Amino acid sequence: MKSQRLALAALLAATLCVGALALFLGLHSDAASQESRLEGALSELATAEARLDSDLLRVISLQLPHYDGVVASEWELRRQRDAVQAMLTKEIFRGNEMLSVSAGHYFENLDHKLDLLEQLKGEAAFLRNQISYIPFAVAEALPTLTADERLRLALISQRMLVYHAHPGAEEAQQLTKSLDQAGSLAVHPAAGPLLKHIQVYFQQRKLMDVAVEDYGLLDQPGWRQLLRSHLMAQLSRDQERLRLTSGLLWLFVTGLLGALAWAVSLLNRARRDAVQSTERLSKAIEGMAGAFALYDKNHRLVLSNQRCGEFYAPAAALLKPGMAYAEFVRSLIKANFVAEMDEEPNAVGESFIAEAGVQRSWHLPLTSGRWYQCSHTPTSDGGFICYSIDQTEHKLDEDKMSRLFTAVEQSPASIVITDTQGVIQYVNPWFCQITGFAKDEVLGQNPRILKSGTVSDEAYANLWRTISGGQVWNGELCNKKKSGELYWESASISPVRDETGRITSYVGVKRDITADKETASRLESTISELARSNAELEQFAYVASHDLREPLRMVSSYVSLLARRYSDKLDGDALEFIAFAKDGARRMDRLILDLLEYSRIGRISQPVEPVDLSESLKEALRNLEAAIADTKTRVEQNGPLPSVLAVPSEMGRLLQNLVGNAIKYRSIERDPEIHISAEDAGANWVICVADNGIGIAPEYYERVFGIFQRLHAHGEFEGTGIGLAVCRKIVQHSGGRIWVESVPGEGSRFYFSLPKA
Amino acid sequence: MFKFTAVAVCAGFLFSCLPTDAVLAAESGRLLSGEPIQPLSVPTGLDRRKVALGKTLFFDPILSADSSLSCASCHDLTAGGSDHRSRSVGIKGALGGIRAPSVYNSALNFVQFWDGRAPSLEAQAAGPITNPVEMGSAWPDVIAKLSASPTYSADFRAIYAAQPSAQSVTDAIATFERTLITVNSRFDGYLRGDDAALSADERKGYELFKSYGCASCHQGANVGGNMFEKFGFLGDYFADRGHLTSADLGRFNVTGREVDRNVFKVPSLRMVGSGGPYFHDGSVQDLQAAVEIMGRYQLGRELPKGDVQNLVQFLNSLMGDTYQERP
Repeated sequence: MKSQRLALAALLAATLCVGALALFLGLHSDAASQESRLEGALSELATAEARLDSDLLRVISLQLPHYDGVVASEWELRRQRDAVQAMLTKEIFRGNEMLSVSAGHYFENLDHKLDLLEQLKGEAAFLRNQISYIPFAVAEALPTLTADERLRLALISQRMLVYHAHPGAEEAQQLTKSLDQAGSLAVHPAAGPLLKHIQVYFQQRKLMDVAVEDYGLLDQPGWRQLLRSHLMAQLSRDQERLRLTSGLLWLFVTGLLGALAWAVSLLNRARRDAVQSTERLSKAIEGMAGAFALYDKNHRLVLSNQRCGEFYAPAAALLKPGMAYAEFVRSLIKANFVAEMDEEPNAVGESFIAEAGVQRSWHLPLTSGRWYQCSHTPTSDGGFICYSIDQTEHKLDEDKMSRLFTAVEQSPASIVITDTQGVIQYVNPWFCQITGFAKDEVLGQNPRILKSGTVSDEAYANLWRTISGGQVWNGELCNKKKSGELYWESASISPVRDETGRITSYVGVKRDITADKETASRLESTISELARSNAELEQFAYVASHDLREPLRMVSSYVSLLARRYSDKLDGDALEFIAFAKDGARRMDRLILDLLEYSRIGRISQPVEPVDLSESLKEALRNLEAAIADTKTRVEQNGPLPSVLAVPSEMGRLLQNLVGNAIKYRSIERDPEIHISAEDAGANWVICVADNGIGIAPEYYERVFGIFQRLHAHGEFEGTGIGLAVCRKIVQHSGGRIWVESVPGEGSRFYFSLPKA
Repeated sequence: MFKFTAVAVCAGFLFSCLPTDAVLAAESGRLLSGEPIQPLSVPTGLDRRKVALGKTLFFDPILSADSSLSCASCHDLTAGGSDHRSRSVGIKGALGGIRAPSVYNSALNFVQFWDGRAPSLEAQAAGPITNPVEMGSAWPDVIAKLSASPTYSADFRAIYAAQPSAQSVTDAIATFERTLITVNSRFDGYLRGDDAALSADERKGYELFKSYGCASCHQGANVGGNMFEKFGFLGDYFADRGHLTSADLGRFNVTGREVDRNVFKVPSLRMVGSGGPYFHDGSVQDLQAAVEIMGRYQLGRELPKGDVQNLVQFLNSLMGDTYQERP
């Protein structure tokens, strides 16, 4: 700092010196150039004077016919003189008295010269006049003169001529003498005036000569020389001073430049430092995770970081230095940025604007669903910093936490949290409700307060081993309520780890299963009952199949025997009777077999697997081969049949029954046609067996699936009425559905659904 | 024998006027430089705008205090450049002190005024404007009046790039006056070689003009106007005339030197043909009478009547083109 100030002071001083010197130099060089110009002008003046002198010579020689040339020279001289006098300013003289005095003399002389010139012009004119007249006058006068007079006149004339040529004292004397001796000439009428003219000429000539002498005495050159010498002296002095001054000037300029360079380097360094610190600051601000904006005391933006624009995207374009805080807030409100808070957004916005600069912090819900935390901090110069961070995750976590907590609190399961030592840290309300203990009664206690005594110590030890080993323990415990009542609960106790994997606590979720337990035991007994009854039924079916059929077989066979042996002894009625008896026995056998089969369906011993229905169909058709050929039935498969999850044998039986029915209940008017197709129904396949038989009336759609239900008498169609019941049982056992659609007289379509394999 | 010598010597004197620069007149081969009178030529190199402005000012009475007089009032360009009065009449009927000389060819005079107090036309033009017995104005008033006029204001601004000032007003008037050269006189034609331009009497008059010595003072292109001379060299004109005024002192009024008493600028004779009165006092109306007085007091001789007539004829032939004749 100090060095900077010193540098600036030196700079200033040097500048002032340079300025003064430059001024001084300017003035002096100006004066010097003026003096040189004056020198030049004086020379020209001298030339003009010389020209005038030569003109004057011509004038006094009486040889000039007119004076226009002389006047021109006069004018030129006057012009030069005025020019020089104009140049002789006070600056030139500058107190140099010798110079001003010599200049004064010079010009005085010059004016004197010009006056003499005028005089001489006049006198010369007169003399020319006389010179041109006198000869004529002489010529005129001569005839009227006497010889003696002529002689005297001639003498005078001669003497005048001589004086004219050589105006010396001797010649003047001679002329005077002869004029004095004029005598009678003076009174002669013609010669008298002539003599007068000559006398006047003589006088004028003398005057002119005096004037010429005066002119000669004007030592113009002398005065000019003096003036010049003084001027030159001054000039050389000035030039010397000028040289000195310019030398000093150069010195100072060099010094100045040096000081300037130094000052510039200092400034440069300062600027670099400033830039560096500004950069650091900028980087720091840009690096912030939150949105940073600095406002001055007029609530105008000074600077903001990029994050600010990202956070407040609708107003990002406004974020330039000088932006008003109010404008920023209002544009956000207008863009519907902020979600509804306690008050409506406009009022909120206005309150922000009004209270800007006051230290406060608040949570800002956005319409986008995110949450910002904004804080205003006033700065020392009256402005404020507005810093916003995205709190959404935090808020979500918070919400999650609170929701979690609420869930735990309100969960219909007892939740107990203990530390690694087994000391209860938390229980939820359900726990209290179940156990009867209040929250503060159990906090700090060990769960063994619930011990009922019915669980072995080994079981507890096992529990602890499991959970402290980091495993989850699942099991049932019989505990004791506060009231002493015992209850069962199904517990799931797991260790809770921190981020390093260390077990920090244990959480137990327990469900009261006392009721369940009862239900379970009841269920068990029911199951065993069912199993027993099932076994009985099995046996019954077995018995039925064998023991019931055996006597029937006997009846049938002996009746047949009767027919065979005694057919020639029996009449027609008797044979018919025998046939009826056989048929009856046969039918009963059929019935028994069907019942057996019906009872077999759904036995647990038959596993479910993927069954290719095409194969099942092939099997069914094989079994019905004879019937198909006899009835000229056409069986068509509309596409391949899929695989389903079912019992293989049952599938064969199912399809055989359906196809068999279709053949059986054919129409006499046409040849039976059976179409089998499959349709995708999401999780299931829906298979359709369609025929063109007699059809079924809608009111019987359900009845046909009933056990032993028949729509026709024996005489019309064969059958026990169990086929469709079997199909239903099969399909239901596989988890599907079976139904029929039909148009009486035209045909029927049987649908069944089975799960896909 | 003596007579012969005298004549020879005198002739020698006459012919000893050796010319310094030979200027040959085209037609006749007459050596112009040897002649005491030179022909006039049309002035060149004058700023046309200044001439126009000067002309306007010359005729404009705005320069006088009561706007009654202009330069042309006393220097009437249609009447030979003067008012032909022995004393001019100024504002409010004030009488001047001296005969107003012709403005024609005044540019060729080496100084202005009878007493030569103005070294230039510009200096002269300022005189009447402020003279109480002439225009009686003051420069501030004149400038104010000129500046108030939009046309003058515009003209001055265009030519001098400033408002009207004493310097620019006189400069414009002087520039205009420089155009007033009366070229194409018959005598100038004769000088240039046209012998038929003059009649025999006029030629005789010119010869007499030279031989009498009139041409020793009335010489140059302006037939005078380029030197000072005493009025009454060989006779006391003023004593004979009487009624001395301050104007009669002539140059003495300017220099105060005894030798300059009754010394005047030799007037130009170019415009004498336009009419009298003649001399600074305007005492003589008739040109013949003026010539006789000149002879008496300047040459000390009584000129014969015949010679006077010829001289007058010659003087009349000096008249050239005046303003009204020029396009």
